[in-house]
Amino acid sequence: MPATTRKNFSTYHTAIFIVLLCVTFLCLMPLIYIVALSFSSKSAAAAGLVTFYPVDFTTFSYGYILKDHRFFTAFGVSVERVILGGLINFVLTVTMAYPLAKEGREFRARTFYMWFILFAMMFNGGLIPWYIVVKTLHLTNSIWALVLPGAVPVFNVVLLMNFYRGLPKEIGEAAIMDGAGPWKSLLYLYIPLSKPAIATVTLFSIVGHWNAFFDGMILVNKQSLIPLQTYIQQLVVAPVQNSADRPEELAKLSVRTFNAAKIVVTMLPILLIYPFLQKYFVTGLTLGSVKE
Amino acid sequence: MQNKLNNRHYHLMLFPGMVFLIIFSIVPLFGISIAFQDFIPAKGIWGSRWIGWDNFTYMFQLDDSKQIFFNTVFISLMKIILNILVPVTFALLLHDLMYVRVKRWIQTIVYLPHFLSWVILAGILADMLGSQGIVNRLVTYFRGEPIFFLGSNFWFPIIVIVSDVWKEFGFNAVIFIAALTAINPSLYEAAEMDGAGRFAKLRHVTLPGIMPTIVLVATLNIGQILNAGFDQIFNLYNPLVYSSGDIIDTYVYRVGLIQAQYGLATAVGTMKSVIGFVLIFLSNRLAAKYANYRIF
Amino acid sequence: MRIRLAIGILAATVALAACSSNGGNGESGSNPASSPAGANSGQASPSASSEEQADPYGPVAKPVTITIGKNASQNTDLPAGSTIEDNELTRYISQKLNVTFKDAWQASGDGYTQKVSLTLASGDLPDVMVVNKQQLVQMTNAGLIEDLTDSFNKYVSPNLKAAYDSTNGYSLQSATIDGKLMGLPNINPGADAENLLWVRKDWLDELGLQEPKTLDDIIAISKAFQEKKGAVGLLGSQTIVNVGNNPEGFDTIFSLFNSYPKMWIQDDSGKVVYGSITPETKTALAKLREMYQDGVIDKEFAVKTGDQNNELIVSGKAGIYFGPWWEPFSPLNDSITQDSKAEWVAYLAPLGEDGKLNTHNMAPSDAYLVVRKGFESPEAVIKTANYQFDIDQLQGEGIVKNDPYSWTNMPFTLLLSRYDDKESKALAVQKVIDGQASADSLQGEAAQVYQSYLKDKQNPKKDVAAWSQAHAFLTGALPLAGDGLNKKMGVFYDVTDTMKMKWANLQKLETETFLKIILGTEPLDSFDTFVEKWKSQGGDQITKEVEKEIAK
Repeated sequence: MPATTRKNFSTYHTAIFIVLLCVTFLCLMPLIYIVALSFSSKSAAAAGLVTFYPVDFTTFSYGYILKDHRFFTAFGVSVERVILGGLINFVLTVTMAYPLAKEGREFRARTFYMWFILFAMMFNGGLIPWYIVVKTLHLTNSIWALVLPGAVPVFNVVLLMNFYRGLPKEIGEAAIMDGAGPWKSLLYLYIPLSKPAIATVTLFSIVGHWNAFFDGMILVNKQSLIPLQTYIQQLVVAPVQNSADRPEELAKLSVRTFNAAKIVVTMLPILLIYPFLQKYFVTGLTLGSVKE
Repeated sequence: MQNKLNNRHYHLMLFPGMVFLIIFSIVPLFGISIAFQDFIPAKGIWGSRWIGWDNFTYMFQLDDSKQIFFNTVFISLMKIILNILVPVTFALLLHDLMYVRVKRWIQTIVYLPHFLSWVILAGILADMLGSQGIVNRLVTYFRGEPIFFLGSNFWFPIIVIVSDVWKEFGFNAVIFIAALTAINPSLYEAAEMDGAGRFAKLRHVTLPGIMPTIVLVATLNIGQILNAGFDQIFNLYNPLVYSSGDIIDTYVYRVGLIQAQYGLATAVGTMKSVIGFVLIFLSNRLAAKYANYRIF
Repeated sequence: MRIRLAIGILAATVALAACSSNGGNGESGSNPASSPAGANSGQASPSASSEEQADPYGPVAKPVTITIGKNASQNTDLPAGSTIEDNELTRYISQKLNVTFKDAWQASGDGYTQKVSLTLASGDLPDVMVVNKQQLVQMTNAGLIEDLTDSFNKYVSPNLKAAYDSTNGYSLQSATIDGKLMGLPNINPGADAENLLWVRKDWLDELGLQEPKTLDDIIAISKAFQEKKGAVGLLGSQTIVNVGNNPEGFDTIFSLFNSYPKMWIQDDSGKVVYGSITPETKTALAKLREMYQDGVIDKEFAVKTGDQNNELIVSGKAGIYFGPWWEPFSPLNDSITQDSKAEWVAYLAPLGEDGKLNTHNMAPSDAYLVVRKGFESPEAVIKTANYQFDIDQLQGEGIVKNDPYSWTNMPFTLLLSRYDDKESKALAVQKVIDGQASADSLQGEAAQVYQSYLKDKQNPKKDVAAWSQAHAFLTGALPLAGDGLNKKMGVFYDVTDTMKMKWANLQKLETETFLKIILGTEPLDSFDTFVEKWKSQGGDQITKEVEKEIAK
């Protein structure tokens, strides 16, 4: 390659690199602030003295959150729901998206199904009937209450369907020529070729389950079954003395450092998930599989 | 013949999902009747008084109805547009980055703000935008007087939109990053051989490659046009910026503070669903007709 | 109205003093309710019944289980072996009454409100729940809850009865529908709604300024602090004024001009009027507008959050603001941790021409414990409440050994205090300090306050918790006792039919108008337009409804 092109090449790349670094920096700053806050003393934080490093270093907030075994119980519940719910989501998403990606002439009912699930995604009857349904099915107070109502992640299904459609049609035809039925086609062709998209919807599903707190609060009464976010969001540092007596007041005495620690604790596990999924975001999986 | 057999399998693949959807999404729709009632939990659905369309017309009868609707749609629309432009740009830049190791780190860090709650972010923003905050230190340096950001009806929507885009772009970019990896590299090679430069490649290979995804995401987001971001605005707003920042949800929330209004809330939710669904349907139609595009 | 309230409070104070001096320190094992004599403050109860008093503390005949819809957040203060549902306090009451307490479910804040609604809609009521006034009315109309009149009259303890009477009949009245007591009301300490003026005394001394009495004093101090100490002006809050607790609120400035916004009051001719539309309110707004213009008030008060205001207080950038008696618990504790030289004192200011502080008072009751219809033992519920009140007065002395005491650990999340709770305790402690009573006469929280006082006297500010408690009561609550205040009680604190649909709109109008007037973006006379709009957009209708409600 001529020398000038090479120079252009690296200017361009350095430019992107700098831009991306700035952007990353912008995102990193508040995170560092929050971590610093979580390790600072309550009064220093209240005085607004914390910027990017802890002031009056203390692990009080973390100690408070982690010392009770209920934290670990709740953590376990969330892990369980992520695994169970994530699995159900995965299976349903991957299988449902396949027939929906077929052409109308091949599978006439697809348009009906498509709009049916879009409708189900857009409309809901509100909190009360939803609760009544779950209750009538005797799902409350079990892990299934946290896992089943969200079994079909419609947004993910539509996303994956779109991706399947983007795969070269020749692949599907080659499979038929080889005598593979829909299931085999799905399992051995579509899924392996859709790794980036599947990784994406898996990420969404995991994050969704991990962050969910409202259903845990409404559908589960047994204290040993509440998921992490539900537990942690209701966790309050009891005031020093019996001062403001009313429960509302107690909640308002929010401690900044404590809230920051809560965020760090729930964010940490997620930090580990993404890199794990990132290795699936790789190009060129369709390379060479079909001769034109 | 083969088709019919396959079809049976297709139905089978969809069957379990349908069951779940029917149980948990369709059956609860009976609750929409609450929208037509003066619903009192103690009386339940059967015992609450029927009031017809009153709950629906309520939102349109207020003095500030126009203002509230406008704020909602404006903020929402701007967010939808920017929440696609920015993540796509970011995904494109990242895709071109050569240093793989750093790529992973950048991706991870950038998607973390998604996990911060607006409670804590609002606090951070309030500090940054206060008269003694960082932003105003710069402003005072240049123009002498600090700007009253969070109290200004001009700045407030901008702050809401920009901070939301900042918070979500990393997470929103994931879809596009995945879509970029699915573009066949041989297309790039072919373009290169035809003498295409960087921008030509972008126009003729990359963008068309991820356009279906962009259109899909945009359409799905349009369905949410009346959800302008309650959590964020609730934590950031104050009475001074009601005229530009009060959205449907914050107003309904304040009504609920006086007395819990399930009827009104359900009516508003249903209205949002109907409008959203219609918009999705229209988008699909338009895309099919004029751009030969099949979204769904 | 005011005089009756004052007498009621005084009588209750005397009653409590008599009670404390007779009673012992509530050692473990003994019955915490010692001397019923002297606890009668002479106010009538809603349905007078001279049945013989059954034992308010005795066990129920047949063992019974009470399921509770619990309003409680999570906390990790309880040691292993104790939970919100089952801890030393619940076990104590359980054992005494032969009752088992079970939590049907537990939620806090918004989640609790949702949970209650869901429970009502799905028809799955626990035996007891704490609800608000509207839910109380709705549940009564739907026939879902027990009439507690008889059980209450039969089993209420003299102490608890006296506590209810300290609200001058308001509490029980508010829980009474069609002559029947449908729920046990809570009792909030009245002191919580009264704003004092908190000032940096060390700054006053440094600048040679007098302690504030009038509004002009406040203005002068604020200006001096800004000039000489680099502070921001008088702090304010987005909630400019309300009818309850309002840290940094301008409530006492409004009431100085006899204006009581947000509150339903009776004007001189006896008519019911909404405080925000009175001419006095316009005068008050004019004054606030002037103060803002002159830079007396923090320029950014309208967008400041509570956290940001606290930041200014703690970091030494604010030296004067309005707040309730419990400020030393937070954020003043952080203030002295950051700067041990900070001296915060609370003043009754701004004083009116009669030398007294005008202040509004909040509703003594806003939460009600209801009992599911068909529950077999309302008696157990009343008796539990009896125990809860006494235990709280003693702060769990003699009952809790390992568990840190908190009233929220008890079975019912119903605050049963006394309306004059904080003031009377402050007075009792001050008496001991002045040598007019012996330290033995104190019990419960008052005794703790005294201990904190001694601790703090010995080593000032070394033990911040002790400083907070002593300071809150002796500097904060003490001035509220006695007759330095003119207290204005509202005539109506609930919600009417039309309010459901129209109030949010009226409130928005009001808040925006007030703010714009104070900030100067709208002329003062826009107040008149506001009043007209308010009346025509539902205000008049609502006023009529309120009049009807009161007449009932």
